[in-house]
Amino acid sequence: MEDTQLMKGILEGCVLAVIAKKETYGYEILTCMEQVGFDNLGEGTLYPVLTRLDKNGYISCRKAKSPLGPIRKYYSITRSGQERLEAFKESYKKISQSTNRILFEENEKNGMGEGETMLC
Amino acid sequence: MLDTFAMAQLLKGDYRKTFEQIALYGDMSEIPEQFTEDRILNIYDLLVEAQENGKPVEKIIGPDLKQFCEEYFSPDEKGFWTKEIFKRIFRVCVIMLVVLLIDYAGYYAKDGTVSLQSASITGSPLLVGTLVAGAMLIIGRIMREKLMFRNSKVKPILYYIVMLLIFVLGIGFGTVWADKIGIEIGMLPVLLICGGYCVVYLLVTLLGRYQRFGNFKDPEKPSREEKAEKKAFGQEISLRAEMINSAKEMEKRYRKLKRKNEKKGKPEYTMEDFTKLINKETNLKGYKAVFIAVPTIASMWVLFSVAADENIRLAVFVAGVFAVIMFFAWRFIWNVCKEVFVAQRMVIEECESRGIDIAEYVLQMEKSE
Repeated sequence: MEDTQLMKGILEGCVLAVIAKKETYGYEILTCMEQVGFDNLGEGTLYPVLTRLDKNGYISCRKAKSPLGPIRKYYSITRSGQERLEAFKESYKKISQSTNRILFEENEKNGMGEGETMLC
Repeated sequence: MLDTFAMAQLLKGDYRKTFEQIALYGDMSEIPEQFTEDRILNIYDLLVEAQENGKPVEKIIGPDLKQFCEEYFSPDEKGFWTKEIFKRIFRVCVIMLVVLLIDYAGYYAKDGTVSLQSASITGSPLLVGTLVAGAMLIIGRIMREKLMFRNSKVKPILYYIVMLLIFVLGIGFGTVWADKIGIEIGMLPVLLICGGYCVVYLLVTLLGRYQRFGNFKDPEKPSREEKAEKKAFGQEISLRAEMINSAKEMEKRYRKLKRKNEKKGKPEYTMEDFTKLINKETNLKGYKAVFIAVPTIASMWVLFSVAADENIRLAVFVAGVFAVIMFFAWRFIWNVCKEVFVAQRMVIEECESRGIDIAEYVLQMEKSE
């Protein structure tokens, strides 16, 4: 998959942002991510991200019985997770602005079409 | 340990097949149980909800099951396997020390004295055989990982049976081989090597934990509440699955008894008669007495038969070891039987409360499946 590498870095921040909205669980996060366009994101990718966030103390996890019976993990964001999310937003903004400038704005100035890039 | 078979029974079609494969991969991987159990419980929750909402399995696991399993069960911690190898050697050493302790007590009970320097562990070949079987099991599991995705039609239970066979054969061949070449494991080397390893391992682990977390507690170890919750969930799922099986079995039995009565020209065998029979058969009090009496009588028999050799100390020791083994074996059998009896009673109770017979109950169950 061509955008896997790109996605890995961003995924952590996005998952953190989803959890920041309200206490949530795996299925809900997966559905939410799918709705915004992360189509091919499966639990195989999501679960390691959640484990990593939990281990780093950015999210906390509690286990409770789901309405359908199985034991479910509910995730909520911690204080350091909030800080991490803010930092992620900041750095993502900067990086995306710079990237957009290189990939798109420069092309427009030089009358190039989308997809054609002007290397520095 | 999770009863993944019971869990799978409550899923349908693709969801069930996928869960069985994932559980098999997790159950049989070399990754520690605690690590895989958490993941199996998590994917089970997702598949149950996906099934409820009609969401395709591929949306949860992606298009490639093998890739999913590899990603999902891969340890995310650096140096995981190095730590795991040291942990496993520690466990083997602890087992060796326990065997040594029991054996030493046996020697002592028999002769009143034993020299650690000259004595060797009784049943050394068997111990070597068990170690060989353990190694064979690891190789078998690695082979299974390569095979299971090639033959997705093979039922998971077959893999478990093959693994059990590998283990039993490993013990058999390993023991015979060790006996043939006359392997004798001395008590002193075991004590020094295994004891020394355990001390060093514990010291390094505890100091490492203190350095990282400021206390000696294992951060991976689940809390008591978590364990209790998992156990309760496991029991509930097993009971639900057992109720499905029991209902089907009971329906068959009811029909058989009915036919038997018809053939013999006896009055019609009613549901009421059958309920009475089940209530009588599943009277737990009577069975409990049998389950307590049998190990007690067996241990006493061992005690008196060994005591006949006029070595009272050895007789008490052997009977004690026998009683402990019997206790655990019978407790296991008791738990299995109890679950079946409770499930049968619950089916009967549900039939009574709904005002239907077992045949209708099974029909409703199959419809909902």
